[in-house]
Amino acid sequence: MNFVQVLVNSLITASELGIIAIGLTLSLSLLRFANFAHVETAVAGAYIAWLLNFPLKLNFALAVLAAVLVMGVAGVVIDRLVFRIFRNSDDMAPMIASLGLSIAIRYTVQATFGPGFLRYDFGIAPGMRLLGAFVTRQQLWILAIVSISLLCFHLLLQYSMIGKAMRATATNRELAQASGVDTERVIAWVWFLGTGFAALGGALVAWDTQLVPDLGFNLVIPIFCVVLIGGVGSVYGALLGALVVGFALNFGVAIDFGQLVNWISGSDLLGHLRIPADYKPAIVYGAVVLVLLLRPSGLIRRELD
Amino acid sequence: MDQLTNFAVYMIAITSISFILAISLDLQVGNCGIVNFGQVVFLVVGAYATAIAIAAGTGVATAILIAVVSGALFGILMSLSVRNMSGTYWGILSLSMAEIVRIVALNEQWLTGGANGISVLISVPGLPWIIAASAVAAFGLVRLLIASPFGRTIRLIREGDRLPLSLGKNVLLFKMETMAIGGAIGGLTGAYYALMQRYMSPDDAKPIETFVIWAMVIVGGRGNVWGIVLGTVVIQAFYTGTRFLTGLFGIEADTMAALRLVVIGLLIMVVSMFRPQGLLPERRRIY
Repeated sequence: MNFVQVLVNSLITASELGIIAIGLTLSLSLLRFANFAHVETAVAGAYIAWLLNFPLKLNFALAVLAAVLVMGVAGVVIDRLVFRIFRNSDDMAPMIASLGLSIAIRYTVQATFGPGFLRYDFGIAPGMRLLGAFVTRQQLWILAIVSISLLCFHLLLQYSMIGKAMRATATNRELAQASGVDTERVIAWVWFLGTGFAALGGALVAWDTQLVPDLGFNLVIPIFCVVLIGGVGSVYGALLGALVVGFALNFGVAIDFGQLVNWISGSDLLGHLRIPADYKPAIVYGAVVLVLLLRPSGLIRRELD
Repeated sequence: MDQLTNFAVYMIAITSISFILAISLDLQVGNCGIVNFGQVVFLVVGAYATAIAIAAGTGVATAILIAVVSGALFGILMSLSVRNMSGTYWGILSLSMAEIVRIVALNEQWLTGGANGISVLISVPGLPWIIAASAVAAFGLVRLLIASPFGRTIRLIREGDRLPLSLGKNVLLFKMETMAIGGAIGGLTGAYYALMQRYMSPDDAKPIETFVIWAMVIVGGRGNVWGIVLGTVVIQAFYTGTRFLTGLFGIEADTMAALRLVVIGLLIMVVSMFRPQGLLPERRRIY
């Protein structure tokens, strides 16, 4: 096992998951429901970026930026059209509606772009060696873009008026409203930011791997696990959760458990014993069940307060 | 003419299987408030249990029994892993568990035949009629169950944990029992599915199958057994009927299949927005 390589891969996975998970955790925190359509908006964003970049020959960075803005606005529209009705209902009704919406988005994408995989148009740069690990330039860009985005989001949440209004609305919507916060405006901002970040994350994942309609299907379980591990509705918890899931995914398949047992027990009972890469969702699921057994409310409880 | 009869019999059997799966889901969602986004897993577990049992040389009746028991056990396993957590957790964890079962079925070749699937080399005479009769039996069973003290308790649990807890009801145990019964009924559909197709593969385990069943429950009306009958017939008719449109408009089969699911998704969304009680709402009894 190349330790540095697995470490770098874990960080990249974590940043991709983290940027997408922010929107989900925001909607859980302010609107109190699990938005199953969230991950599909990430995929839709990735496809819009492809549409602008490949057939329309737009520069890749500009295409992604445009896709982020388009999906941000789409998020606000989705909220107005679909989820506004559920403002005062229980958490089950909007969750079921979002499930329906997620199916509709996924298969609209599939009907439009076909089931095959697509790739972005950008110059191919050689990968490089960093402390014994092999990293592509895309991956370095992903780390940089996600770090900057998260820093901006942190500053926005902590120091801007809209960030304070967001935190107030998350803590107690009625009280925030009574104190003069326009909660509907805050919710619109939350959708814009959350869906925009999702589109960015979707485009980055597709850039790093490939663009297929099933992308959302492969992401939905890890993303939700990130949110559950972090503590439902906690932004900083979600980022911590992203790190946990990123490391669990990459180290889970890299560690040779047979040799580990031998090393701990000082014997050679077992041969090589690795978890097959196909079992990645099972690793994430196992991590979630473990965390919830130890800490039923997740690692950090409602940090946004 | 013979072909038409065969098709009609096949439709009756497949609609009955969907109905049994939908009424099992309704017992969980409509009556107990358990959000199970992995309902298809019971069919998958039951189907593989049947196929493996028959390959091991058991009789059909034994294989069906094994399917029912494994469905029930899996239901208990699901409720154990979610325990007393809220609907959000149920939705996510049940979806994940169903996906894990599909991955296991895909990878453990020695047990399930992997991606190639597993054949069921046995033919059961009159199977479609057995399936249809089972659908009627499942309908009757769930109706009886809902009218029983057990049914009243789980519907109380659906409205919130506090009141049943204050009445000394063991909420966790009732949820577990509901999942066990739902799982047993779902496991039965798996047995029928495997015996009818005479084959089971991970392709039949995709999460989208769950969502078609969800559409039946949501559109028909959760908590109302007649609503589930209506929902099953409507969604199944739409699902099968649109297959014939492929030739008519010259749309490719792949695109058509995707568009069909877009409609299913929008149906779930629109009904839960504007008519959350479904076409046939649950009748609230006044005691």
